[in-house]
This record gives sequence, C-alpha cells and structure tokens, in this order.
Amino acid sequence: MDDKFQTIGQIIGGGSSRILIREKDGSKLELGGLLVIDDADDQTLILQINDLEYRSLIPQSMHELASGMNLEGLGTNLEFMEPQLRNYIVSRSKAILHLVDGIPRIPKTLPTYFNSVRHITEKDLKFLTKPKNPLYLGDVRSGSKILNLPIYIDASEAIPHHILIPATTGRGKSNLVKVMLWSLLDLDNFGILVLDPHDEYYGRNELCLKDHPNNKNLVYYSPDAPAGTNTLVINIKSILPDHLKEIINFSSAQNDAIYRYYNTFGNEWIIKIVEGVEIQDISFKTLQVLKRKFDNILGVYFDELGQFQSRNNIFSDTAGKTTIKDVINSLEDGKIVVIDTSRLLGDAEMLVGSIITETLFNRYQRYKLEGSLNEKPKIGVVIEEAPRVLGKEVIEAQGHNIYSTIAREGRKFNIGLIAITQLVSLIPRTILANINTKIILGNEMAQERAEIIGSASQDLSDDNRTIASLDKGEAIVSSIFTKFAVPIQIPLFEEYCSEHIKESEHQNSRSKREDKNIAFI
Amino acid sequence: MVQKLEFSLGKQLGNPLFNFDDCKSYHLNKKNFHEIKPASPKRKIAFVDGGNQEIFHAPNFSIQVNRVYFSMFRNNERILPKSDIPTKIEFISMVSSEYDKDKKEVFYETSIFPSLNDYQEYLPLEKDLSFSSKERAVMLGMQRYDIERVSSIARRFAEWSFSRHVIQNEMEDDDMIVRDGSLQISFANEDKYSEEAFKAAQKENVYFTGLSKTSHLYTDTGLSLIGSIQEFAEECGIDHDLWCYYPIADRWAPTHKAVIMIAKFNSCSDRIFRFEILREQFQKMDEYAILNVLSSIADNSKDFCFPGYPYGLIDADLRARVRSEELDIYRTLILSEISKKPELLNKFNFHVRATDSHDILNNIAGD
Amino acid sequence: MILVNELYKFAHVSDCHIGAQKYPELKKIELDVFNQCLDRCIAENVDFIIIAGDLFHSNLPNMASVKEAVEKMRKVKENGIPIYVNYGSHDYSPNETSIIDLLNSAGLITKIVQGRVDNGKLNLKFFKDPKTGAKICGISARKMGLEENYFKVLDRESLEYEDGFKIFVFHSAISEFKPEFLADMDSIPISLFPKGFDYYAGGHIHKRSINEYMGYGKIVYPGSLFGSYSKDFEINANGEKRGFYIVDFDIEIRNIGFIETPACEYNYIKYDASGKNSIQVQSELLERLKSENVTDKIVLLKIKGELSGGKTSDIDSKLIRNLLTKNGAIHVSINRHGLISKEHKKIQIMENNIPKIENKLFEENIGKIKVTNKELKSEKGVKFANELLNVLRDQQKPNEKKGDYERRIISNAVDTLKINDESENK
Ligand SMILES: Nc1ncnc2c1ncn2[C@@H]1O[C@H](COP(=O)(O)OP(=O)(O)OP(=O)(O)O)[C@@H](O)[C@H]1O
Ligand SMILES: [Mg+2]
Repeated sequence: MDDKFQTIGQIIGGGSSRILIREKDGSKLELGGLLVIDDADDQTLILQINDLEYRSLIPQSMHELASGMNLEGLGTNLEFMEPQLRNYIVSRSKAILHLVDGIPRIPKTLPTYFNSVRHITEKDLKFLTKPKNPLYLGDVRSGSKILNLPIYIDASEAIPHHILIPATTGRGKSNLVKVMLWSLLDLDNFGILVLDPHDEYYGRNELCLKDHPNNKNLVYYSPDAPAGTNTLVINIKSILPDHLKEIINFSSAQNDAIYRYYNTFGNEWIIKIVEGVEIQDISFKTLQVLKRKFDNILGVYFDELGQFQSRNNIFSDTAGKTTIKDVINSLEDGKIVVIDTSRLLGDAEMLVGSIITETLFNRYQRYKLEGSLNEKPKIGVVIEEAPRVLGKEVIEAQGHNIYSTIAREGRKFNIGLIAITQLVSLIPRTILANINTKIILGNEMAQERAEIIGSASQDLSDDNRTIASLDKGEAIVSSIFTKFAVPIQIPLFEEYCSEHIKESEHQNSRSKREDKNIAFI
Repeated sequence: MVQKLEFSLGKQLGNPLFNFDDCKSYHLNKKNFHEIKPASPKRKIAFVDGGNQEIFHAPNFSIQVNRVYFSMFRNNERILPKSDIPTKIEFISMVSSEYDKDKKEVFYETSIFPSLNDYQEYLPLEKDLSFSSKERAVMLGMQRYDIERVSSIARRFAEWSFSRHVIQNEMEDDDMIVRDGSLQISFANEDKYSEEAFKAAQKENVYFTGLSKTSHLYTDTGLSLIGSIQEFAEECGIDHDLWCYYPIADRWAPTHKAVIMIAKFNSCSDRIFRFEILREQFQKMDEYAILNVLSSIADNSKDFCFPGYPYGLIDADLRARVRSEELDIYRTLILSEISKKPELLNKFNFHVRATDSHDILNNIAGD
Repeated sequence: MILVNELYKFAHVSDCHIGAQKYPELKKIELDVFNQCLDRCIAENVDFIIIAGDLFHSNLPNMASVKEAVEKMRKVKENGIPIYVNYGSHDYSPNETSIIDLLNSAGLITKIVQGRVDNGKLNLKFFKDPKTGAKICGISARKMGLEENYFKVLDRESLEYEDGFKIFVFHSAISEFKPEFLADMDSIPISLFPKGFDYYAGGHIHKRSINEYMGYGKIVYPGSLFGSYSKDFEINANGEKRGFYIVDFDIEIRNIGFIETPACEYNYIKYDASGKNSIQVQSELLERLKSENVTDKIVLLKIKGELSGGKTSDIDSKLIRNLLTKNGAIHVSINRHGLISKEHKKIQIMENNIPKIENKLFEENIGKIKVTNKELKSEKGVKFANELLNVLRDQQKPNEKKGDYERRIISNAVDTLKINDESENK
C-alpha cells in the first residue's frame, strides 16, 4: 500500500470538540497536523491536531521510580518491555472539515468509533482549486510537512475585504508580503500601493520584485531612485491641511493658523509658513511652532539665503507636481507601486501614504458615483506597523483617518488594506471584524494570540498552542473565503522567486532575444 | 501480636516439607544454589494464561466467561503467530449439578459455547467435563466439589488443550512454553489434556514449564518455603545476581510431573518464584541447559512494573483476565436471549435469585 | 588653475512648431516670434543655438512657413551661429526624411543626436561645438513617448564619465518635473537620464521651467515660443510669458537668462450656460461680448454648462466670431466642448443600438479616407471596418494576462486581414 495511506492512529474516544486519537508508534504526529479518517461511503473527515499528550498503561509512580533509578544509575537491567504498546501519545484533534463526495461541509457528526486515521494527502484537498485571480500564499502544510498543494485566495475577493498579517518580529511577515506581491505581479488587474519603510520589496541590491518577469507591472518610487525608476519627490503644494491633521496632533491655535494660511495662500500655505510670512491674528509663537513642526516632520525650511530647502529631498517646492497623480494612475493601470519611505520619519511616511490613499479613495468614490467603478482594478494598500494608523489610541486622539475609513468602507469602493502588524491588540475590534482574511504567523505573546483568535473567521479557540508553535514561514490562513483555517507553509521568497524566474526564462528563451538590437535614430 | 509474629518467624528454616508418600525432600544445602548467567538464548517463549469469571450463579448451576490467551516473545520482542491460531480463545461454560437420589451422588455436567466457532477446535470435549462427585477426587483434600470450584474446570482444560495447539503450530526445537501456575493437575480427566500437551512438547523438543506467583509450599518448621530459601540464600552469602535453587524434592506423582525449583530472575527484585520444568525433559538436560532455560526467563523478567517476573506472564494475565465490565455485557446478552422465552426467564430468575442476595450484599458493601 | 576670462553663450529654444497655425493672422505671429527669437540671438551674439525639438509642427510642414523660417535661419548661419537640433515628437520621421533631415543635409542646422545600439546598449556620441568646446549629445523624441525605450538602454555610465562642459538635449517630459496639468502625459523618470551634465536642454513641455535635482545640472524647458495647442493660448491668456533662454557659461553655467518673445495680447472670456436655454445664452453672450475690449487681441471664449433647453447648435459661433472680429479681435477661438444640451443626453440614452450607430459613422466617414485598395472602400470597406472593430473590441478575459490578451487580439486582427487577402486573390 502507498506509504501515504498508512494508518497512523486510531480514534479512542473524545467528542465533537476533541477527538482523541492514539498515535501509532513512530508516526510522529505534529501539532497542527492534518489527519484524515475515511468513513463509510465517500465520507471523509479531516481533523487537525490541537494538542498532544503522553499516556501510559503503566502507573505514573512507576515511571517516576524508573526514571529515578535510571538517573541514579540503579536498575540498569530493568526496562519497560514493549514500550510502544504501553506508553504512547494521544492527540486531541478537532474535526475541521467533513467531505461528502469530495464536497466540503462543516463537520456535524463524529467519525466511526475506533476508526483508523491516516495522514492527509493532496488528493483529499482537491476541492481547493485555483481561483480566477490567484493570489498565492504558500503550500498546504500538515504540521511541518509540506504538501504539494498551493493555496491561493482570490485577490478580487480577498483584497477589498482586507488582509491582516499578524506576527511577532522575524516570523516572516515581509517574506510573505514579498511572495504575495510577486504573485500579484502576474495579475494585471490589481493596483497595489506598498508603503515600504524598510525599502525591502523592490530589491535595489538583491533579488526581489524588480526581477519579476512581468516587472512592467511594477513601479518604484524612491528618493534615491535606481535608473529607470521614479524619484519620490512630492510637491509641497499637494499637501492639504486635512492630510496633515489626520497624522499629526495640532493644538486648536495651530489648527486655526493652518486654515488661515491655507485660506490666504492656497496650496502655498506650507511654504508661507516655513518662510515665516506673518499674517494678521496669528501669533508669532504659533507660527514659530508650526515652522519647527514642519521642519521636524517634512524636513522643509528656508535657508539663510531665503531659499526653500528640503532636508530629505522628498518634499519639493518645484518638482513632483504630478507624483501623486502618477502613482494613482499607475494603480489604476493595475500596477504595483512600491514607495520607498525609508528616508522618511514615521509621520511623514504616513502623510505620503495618506495623501495618495485619500486622493485615490476620492477618485474611486467618484467612479462609483459615475458607475464606472467595476471597470477599474481593485486596489490594495500595504501598510507596515498598521497600529500607527489603525490603533485605538490614534483613532481616539485624531479621529478616523483614511486608513480606518478604508478599513470600514473601502470594500464598497474596491479598495482594501493589507495590514501588517506585530500587535493586533492595539487595533480596535470593530476594525478587525472588517478584515476578512487573516494570515496568522507565529506569535509567542498570549494576549496577541487571544486577539487574533477572537477575531478570526473560523473558530480557532483550540489553536492557541498551534499558533504559538508556528515556525518561521508557517502560517494559518483564516478567511471567510476559505472553507477552513488552512495551515500553510510560505516558501522562502528567494527560493520561490528564483524558481519562478527560471521557469519563465525557460519559456521565453526564444522570444526574448529578438528585440535586443533596436535601430537608433 | 508482634511477639507472636517474632516467634512464628524466628523458627528454624527447616527443610522442604511435602506431604506425599511418594516424595523425598532434600535438606537445604548451599550447593543447591546455581547462578543463572546472562546468556543470549534466541529461543521463542510462549506464555499461556487463562481467566474465568462467573456471570450467573445459582446453587445448582454456574455460567462462566472463560478466556485463554497466549503470547510469544523472542529477544523480548513480541512475535505474532505464523499460523492462523488465534492469540486468545473465548467461550462461555455452564456447569450444572444434579443430585441423583438413587445413587446418592451429585452429578456435574459442563457445556461450553465458544464465542466464535473457530475456537471449537482448541477447546476440551464436553464429555470429558462431566463427572460424578463420587469419582475419585484427584485433588488432595477435596472431598466434594463445590460448584464454584468445578466451574473453573473448563478453563483449566482449555489451557492445556490450547497450549498443545500453540506448541504444535508455533513452536520449534529448543523453544519453550511457560504456563502461569504449576504443572499439577486437579480434576478427573485433566490428565488426558495435560498429557497431550506434554507429549507434544517432548515431540517438538519444546520445554514445558510453569511459573507460580504464589506458592503453597512449606518447610517442615512451618515457614514458607520460598521465604526460607530467600533467607537461606542470605545466610549463605549468595551474591549471584540471579540464581536458582534445586533440587528441592524428588517426587514422582502422576498428578504432578514436574521438577520444582526456586529462582530469582532479576537482581533488582527481592522476589523469588517457584519454577517448574516437565520432569521428563528435566532429566534429559544437563546443568547448562537447565540454566539456559532459566536465563531465558530471566531475560524476559526485566520490566520495571514487576521486576523478576516475566513480562510475558504479566501480559498474558492482563489479556486473559475477564473484567467485570465485560461481565455486564455478557449478562445482558444472555438475558436478552433468555427473555425471548418468557417461561425460561421466569424460572431462571427464580433460581438465580436464590444466591443473588449475596451479590446484592456485596454491592452494598462496595466489595 | 585655469583662468577663464571669456564667457560663452548659447540660446536654448524649443517647440517653435512652425507650420502649426492655419489662420493667416496666427501664422504671422508664429513666424514673428520665431524671427524675434533668432534676431535676438544674433544681436546677443550667442555662440550657438539649441532647438530642443519640434522646430516644425510636422515632419513635412506648410512650405510657405518653412520658406520664411529658413530664410531667417540662413541669416543666423551667415552670422556664424550654428543651430543644433534634435527631433521633436512632431517633426520626427522614422526613416529620416523629415524637413529636419533636409535642412541638416543643407547644412543649415545640425542634428546632434548620434549613436548606435550595440548589444542592447545605446551608446551616444558627443558632438563638440567647435568654438566653445561644449559637448552636446541627446535623444530625439519619437511618437507616443517611444523614446523611453532608448533611455532604458542608454549607456549612462560612459556619458557620465566624459569630462568637459556637457549638454544633454532631449524632447520628453520628465516625470518628476511635469506640470500638474500634464499629469497624464507620458514621461520619463529622471533616473533614466545620465547624471552630471551641466545643462539639460529640454523640449516638449510647452511651459518654461528651470529645475534642479541632486546629481543633475540645470534641467531646463524654455516652453514653446508661441504655442500650438488651444491650451497653450489659455496659458498665454493667463499671463504666461513666452520666449527662450540664453545661457552664459565657461567651465560651468554662470547665468540663465529668460528672453521674452512677446506676441500679442489676449482676452480670455469664460461663460457658464448652465440653467439657461439656448436662446437666452445667445443673446446674453452677444450682449456681454459687446462690452469686452478685444482690439488687437486674440480672444478665447469658453462656453460651458448644461443648457436647460434648446440645442447647442442654436448658439451661433459665426455670429459671435463676426461680432468680435468687427470689434478688432485678431483671432477668435471658441471652445464649446463643455457645453451640452439636455436633448443630447437623451439621444445618448435612447440611441443605444450601438452597432447601428457605428455602422452609420463608418458609412458617413469612409469617403474621407484616401486609400487605393478597393477592399477598403465603400460598402466593402464599411463591412471590413465593422469586422475589424468587432475583433478589436473583444475584452480581456478575466483570467487572461495582458500580454496574452494583446497577442490574441493582434492575431485575430491579422486573421481578419488575411481572410480579405485571400478573397482578393481568388
Ligand atoms: N517562509 C519562510 N521560510 C523560511 N525562512 C523564512 C521564511 N520567512 C522568513 N524566513 C526567515 O526569517 C527571517 C525574517 O523574516 P522577515 O523579515 O520576513 O520577518 P518579519 O516578520 O518581517 O520581521 P520584522 O518584524 O523584523 O519585519 C528572514 O530573513 C528569513 O530568513
Ligand atoms: Mg518585516
């Protein structure tokens, strides 16, 4: 018989919430592992292991005595005979899926008592088909064994319904986002805005998105743009008071002043403030504070020669007049726009993101009114450290911002968030409830796990241990679009993309050569 | 009480006492201690044990659940039967007694019902299980058979019969079979089955042995034989890790065709056991062969849970034992069958109740 | 240390668009500002002139205009001032048969775009101005921003490595410096330009600007001299000054001076017709225009809004034009794109038999297309056009990649064409 179909355990009790399975000696069942019970007549039950424990037919005191003797070097001629029969492991498993003729249902019955259990195979999950707009996340994983079964979610459903990627540091959030973006580059009908505070997605010096065979779908903005990419330069005049107010806390005096300057000078308001142009009724002190604030946040000031200067070269008084529009046009063209915000301080980064997102949101609102929304690509916005904009405290202090607005209403306008966070607990439940796909990576913080489990689309109450034990690249996809919380292994990006590049090079090896030498006139 | 105890135990160790005319017992002698050296015999060892429990009881009949089980080990690893012999057989037996007024004797009759037809071939014949109370009691001191006592007869016979099949189907030259208990027989017709088993063993050259957890042997000073030998070993300063003591007695009785020895099978254990080898085989063995057989047992007696006692017998006991949970199931099964005949049920209830009150009392007492 | 006493000068002009204007009064201005510009260059005694593309409005423009412009250029040449040019998006010719090439051969102007693509890399050659030693190279425009492909394969390193005073001539929008109203225009990111040139002489953007960016010298657009689009006139009317730059340099840029080439005055009149019917609009508008000062001005009239009643055609442009011309306007341009009527909307909704409309449009217009192939004419032509349109209209399938989609459409279209080929052969 095929190795895969070997019995690895047997049901020995339990109930609907926990089915107890005795492990066949040496089967090495794993937390999170997927098991299959072939019940009668094309009825298959898929279980997932939530917990493992030792059991023994030998009284505990005997074990303790035995180990005492071993440790003290006594009784060397004693052993436990037939240990595999008398000491064993019992897994506590939960039925996660009931397949009737291959069609998945929520399990409502228990499998036949004492039935034998085997490992899952690709065939058992053949109902997991490739959707129309495949967004690849990884391969199905049973414990730490990886199945040859890729998992896709449909980007056109998942993105507008928002995606959350929670994990503590170093568990592979960025790696996952790279894998996702790589897969999205193959799709022409999704615009993805990536605010990249670590400049890690474009691949300036290493293999990354720029190396995608379909990289014409990738647009990169950086203050230090490599050849062929766009310079991140934003005209200071495209910043409106409302953009700033969402991100930065202003006193009411400052607020008044901002609007006075805006009403007086229009889009030159920031320039006039940093230039120190005084207007009536605005105190010198307020002006000075604002000047300092803008220097701190935007890095803009006037030098001794009375010249406008930008410390980071990102906010300019002359260049970058169309940057925001260009970014949005690219998104509307179904491209992935990566914005390297690594030179920007947190607030400025959020500001850049807000201006783009807000303009985009307004534009899509208009499309909806005009009835043309459905012709436009759906948009995803990737934000790192999401609590900076979606956190309870931020929203309480500054009111709703464009990101929280998108979280609540974006779906109506085909705009969704792909939010990355280490701390889910900082995000209000109301927002979490709107995020309908969660790709849960490892998390050792109990409180965070509780929040994640509490807001998941499936009942993950038994998966606490499993989530804690997720290794790098191991994840659980809980989504209203998946039939169950699918355990996956996310590939290491470098390996995944090298493979993909090789494949496509192989396919295109002929057609590429031709257009190399173009005539120049 | 302590004083009394001191007196009782402070007696001379004495010598093995056997209350048989045909028995010659030896004095305790240091020379009779033999060291069992670890050998690595690759022989297959079969362990056989049986169990029975009563499910219904009345003064004139008893219904029992019986089970006989065997397992085999080699190098302490379980081996599964190569033939299609089952590792356990189960059957229900019913013993009934009838008083024959004319002959003034009680007549016992046993019927057996295997739970699977396949088991039939391993079971004794019903005719061999029937006898009269006046028939020569083979068991010492037994004048009349109590029905409860008699009720184990089917199981005992089945053990012999099953052992024979095990030997014939599974065992080869130099292998051994270990039975739980001694090789002594107690019932009329039992010899028929034990002899067949012994013959089969001799034919295949399989050592037929028995090991008793408890021993009813004493010394002539009234102390337990086993305790005495243990103490004697200490007195003599026997420092072998494992040893055995023989000869103990020389006996030639048709009901007990075995050589008895006392053996210590594990150094970590204080316990020593009574071990028997079929006499006819013993006589043909040299000391090396004898100790080699003992060494095989010792090798199987390393389990933490019961050091010095063979794991195979622990296992056999566990599997042969009929558990009280099972009894309920059998009871229900049988009652449901009986209830299909209302008259019979009536009668049955009437008779069973006669002794049921005892059970009820037991239940109340939480026994 | 080198002491440099003398300052050199060059003029940077672009987007003259000679031949763009159809009306005689505007043609005159078009040439007038061009003459002003070159006269000034002679007067300033510049060392050379760079015209960064779109000197002419097309690669074969109206010869009357060309004649006058060429005369002026000859005069410049006689004064020993060379004119350096690249192609603009308008006067570009894929087979080098543009008026530019003609004048280049005649020695009147010099095309400074030289280079070749080797192993997928574009190596540009510098042209060295004999008098000043300035090293000039550049890339011409192509239609539809296709010159980006050249930029993508440009060997920037070797250009950056060259020493001396360097000028890069181009005719493209730069993403980072596009004016807001040109947001949708194709553009090239600055990162594709070679760094370290002293001066980047740009064309294509009709609005002047001097830009700076880290690592680059001055990036300059003079804008157009007069303008060729109506949007240009709107900008002019809003007060934008037109002209060109004269740049002083020795080993580096010393000064960039803007020289205005004034053309004429403008009057930009906006009228909102919303909520009024066509009759009201007509009379109100005429009344208002009477009081406008339009003498010697180009008048731009923008009418927009949704009429509450009547047809847009009720508003008589001719009448308006006559009135303004009578009052002394040089030229009248009426923009009524933003004007719509309620009826128009209704028609749009009712006439939803799209194939019928398309067919009608083809029938109406087929006569205007000059082709020799009989298959493309009259009824057959209409049928063919409909077929081709149907093929081209096919939408991208949900799972289809853009590339696959393009290939499929192209191959279908080719098939359509082939079928006709074969039927012709039979
Ligand atoms: N799917 C994977 N398979 C194997 N290794 C992985 C995988 N994902 C991540 N890693 C390893 O873990 C390291 C950290 O991953 P990554 O940077 O994606 O984590 P992160 O969650 O984004 O961390 P941070 O919180 O610092 O942003 C990577 O350098 C990589 O070596
Ligand atoms: Mg990261």
